Amino acid sequence: MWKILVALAVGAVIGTVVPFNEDWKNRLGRLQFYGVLILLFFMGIAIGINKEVIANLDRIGLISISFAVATTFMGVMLTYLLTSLYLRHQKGGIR
Amino acid sequence: MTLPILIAVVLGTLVGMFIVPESLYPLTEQALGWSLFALILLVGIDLGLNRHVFKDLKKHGLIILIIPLSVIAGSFFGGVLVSMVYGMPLNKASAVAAGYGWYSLSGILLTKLDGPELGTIAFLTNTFRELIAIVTIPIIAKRMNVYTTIAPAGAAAMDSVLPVIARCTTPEVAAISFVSGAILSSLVPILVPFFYGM
Repeated sequence: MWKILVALAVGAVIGTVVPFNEDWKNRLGRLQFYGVLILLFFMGIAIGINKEVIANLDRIGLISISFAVATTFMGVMLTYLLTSLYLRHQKGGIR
Repeated sequence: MTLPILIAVVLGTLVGMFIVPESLYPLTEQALGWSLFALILLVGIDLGLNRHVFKDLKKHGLIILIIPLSVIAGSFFGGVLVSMVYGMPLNKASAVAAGYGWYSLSGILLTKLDGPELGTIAFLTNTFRELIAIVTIPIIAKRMNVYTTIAPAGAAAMDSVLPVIARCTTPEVAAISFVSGAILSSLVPILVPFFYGM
């Protein structure tokens, strides 16, 4: 976790100190997007390379997908409900 | 944005299954770690460029608590639902649900506490949670509200999914996302054993 904090802090310092113009800001945005794709490609390799995970994807996979969908769905709906209620009382809140 | 993401994951999985030998797994982990490190650096630059955002964080103080608490409660209810469907003991189901997308830690924790099966379920559940988050965040940003994009990311809202949230929303939401992810990440090693011991 500390490595992530350091990377974020170093980036924030660079972003504060270096006077990037709009052109550079756009380039950084594109770089971020392609970075996400590379990260996901490696994540896919980490999943595919683990033979045990792939072999058990039937029964355990079904239970896991149920867990993932149910927990994500309930979390999203509750967050949407509460943040909507909160935003209703906020003038100028982002929507 | 969703299609290139899906292609990257599927392509990576196929490469992992058929091309990359298992002996190279540590190298993949390293590559994953470094690419994550580079991405977080870019997100940091983005936050630095929009530093005025942090001055406005105080006025969204309640949101910073609402989001992680909603994720904790929602995940618990989701876990209860699955335990009822599959007849799984509630303590095990709520412990799996308390991984909040941190697949590596929750998988290891539950392998040690219970056994490899529950550990694998926790690992897969939270891997799928992260994948679901990456796919649904762009849709949630358009159809619901930007704050809700943080919810599916769970603990990953501070690292691997943060670039996706930053890309789909605003630097302010990215900053709130980091805080929410940090709160949830710090609670995973506490809540997984807590729920399991219930």
